[in-house]
Amino acid sequence: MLKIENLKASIDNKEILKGLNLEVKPGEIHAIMGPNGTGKSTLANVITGRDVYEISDGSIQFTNEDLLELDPDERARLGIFLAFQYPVEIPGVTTTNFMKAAINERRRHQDKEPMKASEFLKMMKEKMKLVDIDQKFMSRSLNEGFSGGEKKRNEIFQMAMLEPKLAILDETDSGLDIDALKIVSNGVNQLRNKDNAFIIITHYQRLLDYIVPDFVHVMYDGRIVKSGDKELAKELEAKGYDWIKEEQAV
Amino acid sequence: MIAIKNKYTEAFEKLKKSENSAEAHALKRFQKMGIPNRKSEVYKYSNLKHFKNLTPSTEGRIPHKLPEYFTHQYLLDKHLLVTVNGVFAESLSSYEGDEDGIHISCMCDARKEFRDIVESHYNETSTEYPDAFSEMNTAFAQCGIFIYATKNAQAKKPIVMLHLGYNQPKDSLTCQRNLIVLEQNSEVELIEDYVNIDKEEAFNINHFSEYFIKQDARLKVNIYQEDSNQVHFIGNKFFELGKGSNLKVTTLNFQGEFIRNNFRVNLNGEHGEATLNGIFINGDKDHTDSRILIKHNAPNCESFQTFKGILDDQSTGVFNGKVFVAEGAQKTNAFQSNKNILLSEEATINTKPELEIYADDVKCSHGATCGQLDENAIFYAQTRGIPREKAKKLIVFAFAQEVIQDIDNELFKNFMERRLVHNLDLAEYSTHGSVQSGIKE
Ligand SMILES: Nc1ncnc2c1ncn2[C@@H]1O[C@H](COP(=O)(O)OP(=O)(O)OP(=O)(O)O)[C@@H](O)[C@H]1O
Ligand SMILES: [Mg+2]
Repeated sequence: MLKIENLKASIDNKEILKGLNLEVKPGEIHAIMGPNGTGKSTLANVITGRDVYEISDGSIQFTNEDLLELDPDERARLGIFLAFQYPVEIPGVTTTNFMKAAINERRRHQDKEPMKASEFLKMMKEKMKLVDIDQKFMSRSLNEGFSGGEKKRNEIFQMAMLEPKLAILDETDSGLDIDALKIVSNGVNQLRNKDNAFIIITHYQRLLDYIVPDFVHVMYDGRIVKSGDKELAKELEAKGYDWIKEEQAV
Repeated sequence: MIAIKNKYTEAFEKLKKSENSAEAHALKRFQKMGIPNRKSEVYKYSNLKHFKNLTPSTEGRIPHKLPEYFTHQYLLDKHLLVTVNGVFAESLSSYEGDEDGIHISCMCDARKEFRDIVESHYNETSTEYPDAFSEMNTAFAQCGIFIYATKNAQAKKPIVMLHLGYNQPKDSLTCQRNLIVLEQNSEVELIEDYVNIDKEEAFNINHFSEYFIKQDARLKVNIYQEDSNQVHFIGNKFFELGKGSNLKVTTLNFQGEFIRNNFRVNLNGEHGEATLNGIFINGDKDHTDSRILIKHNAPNCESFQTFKGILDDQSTGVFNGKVFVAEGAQKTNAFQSNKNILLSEEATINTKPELEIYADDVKCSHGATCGQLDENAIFYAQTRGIPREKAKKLIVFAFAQEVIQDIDNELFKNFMERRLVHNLDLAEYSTHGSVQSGIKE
C-alpha cells in the first residue's frame, strides 16, 4: 500500500529525513517511536504533502501512485489521513461544515452528487458515537478553544468520517486522559480492517496496549534504525533510547 | 475656484431657498471648505477627484414605474421605505404610518407635522466636526426619510430602507438625507440597503443620516451594499446616544467601487453602549474607507468595534477607528479590532486604530492585523481532501462569518450568509442547514 524508499527531506537546507525506508501493507498497524526531534512529524508531513520540505532523494508510492507528484488534497482523496500532533484552529468554520466540505469534495471528484443532508447527519451521529464526542463540538469553530484532548478526539472523529485507507496518527495519545485514550483506541480498533492501515507515532508504550501494532519502528536522526514487534516498544519503555543511540554511534 | 463655486451656486438657485435659510448657510460653509483634497488628514487615503466633477442633483422627480425589482425581498414582514435617487418614494413603499407608536414619513411632511422634533434635531450633529459632505448635503438635501419612535414604542417589524439609484445623470450627485429619532425606551431595527438598479449606470451618493437615541432606547442598523460597479458613496452617519441607550450598527459592503463611511457616535449619558461591526469584500480596484469616531462623553459607557476587510486584486481599504474618552468619563470600556486578509500581493490596506484618553479609570483595547491566509490552516484543510483554492475560500468565509454571525435578525443574517457565499464563489458549500424558508431571492 505504502512504500517509502530512501527518502531524504530537508528544510532550510537542514536535512531531517536522511534516507528513510518503510513499507506498509493493507491491514497492518505500524508504530513509530523515537526521541524528540528525530523527524517523525516531518515524515508524516512529507507523506501528506506539506510543501515546505524539499525532497532531495527517494520515493513514496501509495497504491501504485507516485505520491510526491500529488497535491495534499489529492493525496487525501486517495485515502491518506493525518491526525495532527497539533491540530489547527480554524475560527468560524464549524466541524460540521468542515466535514461536509471534505466529504462533498471527495464525492465531487468521484462524480457523485453532494451527500444528502439527512444521510450526512446520520453519518455524523454514528461517528460521534464511535469516539464519544459531544454534539456541541460539531457546531463550534473547528478546534478553537478546544482542550488538548478534545482536539485529539476531534481528529479521530474526522478520521472516522473520512474512512481513510492509510491513517497516520501523530502523537494522538499525548495529552489524553486514560478514559479518552481508551475511547480513541477503541475508535481505531473498530475502524481497523483488512484493507486499511495505520501508522501510529507515539512516545508511550501504553497506547500500544490498546492498539496492538504489527510492527514497531524506532526512528532516530532521520532514519528508521530498528524494527521489531510490540515487544520492542516494551523494551524501549524499560530502557529508553540510549542503547539505540549507542548502537548508532558505533 | 470661481467656476466651482458657480456650479454649486447655480444648482442651489434652482431650489429657491432664501438667502437666510439654513440651507444657504450650509452652502456657504461647504463652499468655503470645498471638496477635500489629498492634503486633508481626514480623507488622506480616499481620492475624491471623482466627486469634484459632480453637481448635486436638485431634481425631486420620482419615476412612476421601475423595472421589476425583487432581489431584496429577504424579509417578509417589514415596513418597506423606498427612496429613488434620494427622494422618498411613497408609491413604491409599503408601511403603516403610525403603527406601534412609530411614525414614518418623508422629511418634507415631517417638517410640517413634526416641526418641533425636526427643528430640535435636524442638523444638530454636524456642527461639532464640520464635514464638507455633510454641509453640502444640508444645502442640497432631497426629501428623505423621517422616522420617529415615541416613548416606549416598540417596532414589531424591521424597517427596511431601500435606497435605489435609477437613471441618474452621470455627473450628478444625490444628496440623500434622513432623520431618525428614538424617544425614551423605544426600540427600532433598521435595514438600509443601497441598490443601483442598472449596475452600469452612475450611482453617486452623498448620504447623511442623523440618529438620536434617547434614554434607554435601542436601535439596530444593518447597512448593506453590494456589487454596484459604479457606486461612489460618501456616507455620514452620526449617532447621539442618551443614558442607558444601546446602538448596534453592522455594515456590509461587498464589491463597491468607492465607499467611504463616516460613523460618529457620541455616548452622552451613563451606561450607554455602542457596537459597530463591519466587513467589506473588495476585488478589482474597489476602495472601501471606514472612519469611525466614538466619543465617550459620560462615565460607565461601553463601545465595541469589530471591522474586517477582505481584499483581492488591486483593491484598497482604509480603517481609521478612533475612541475618544473625555475627561471624567471614568469606567469606560472600549474595544476595537480591525482585521484584514490580503488575498493578492497588489491589494493594500491602511489601518489606524487610535485612542485619545482624558480619564484615568478606563479599559481600552485595540488591535489591527493584516496578512495573508494562515498556511497551516490551508494545509490542514487540504489533508482532508479540500483543494487549496477552496480551502482558502472556506477560511475567508469563516473570517467574514464572525461579523455576519453577530447580526441579530435571523432572516437578514441568513440572507447575508448567502450573499457571502455568493461573493466568495462558494456555492457548493452553501448547503448550510441554517438557510431558512421565508427568504426569497
Ligand atoms: N518548519 C521547520 N523549520 C525548521 N526546522 C524544522 C521545521 N520543522 C521541523 N524542523 C526541525 O526538524 C526536526 C524534526 O522535527 P519533527 O517535528 O519531525 O520531530 P519529531 O520527531 O516529530 O519530534 P517530537 O517527538 O518532539 O514530536 C527538528 O529538529 C525540528 O526543529
Ligand atoms: Mg512530532
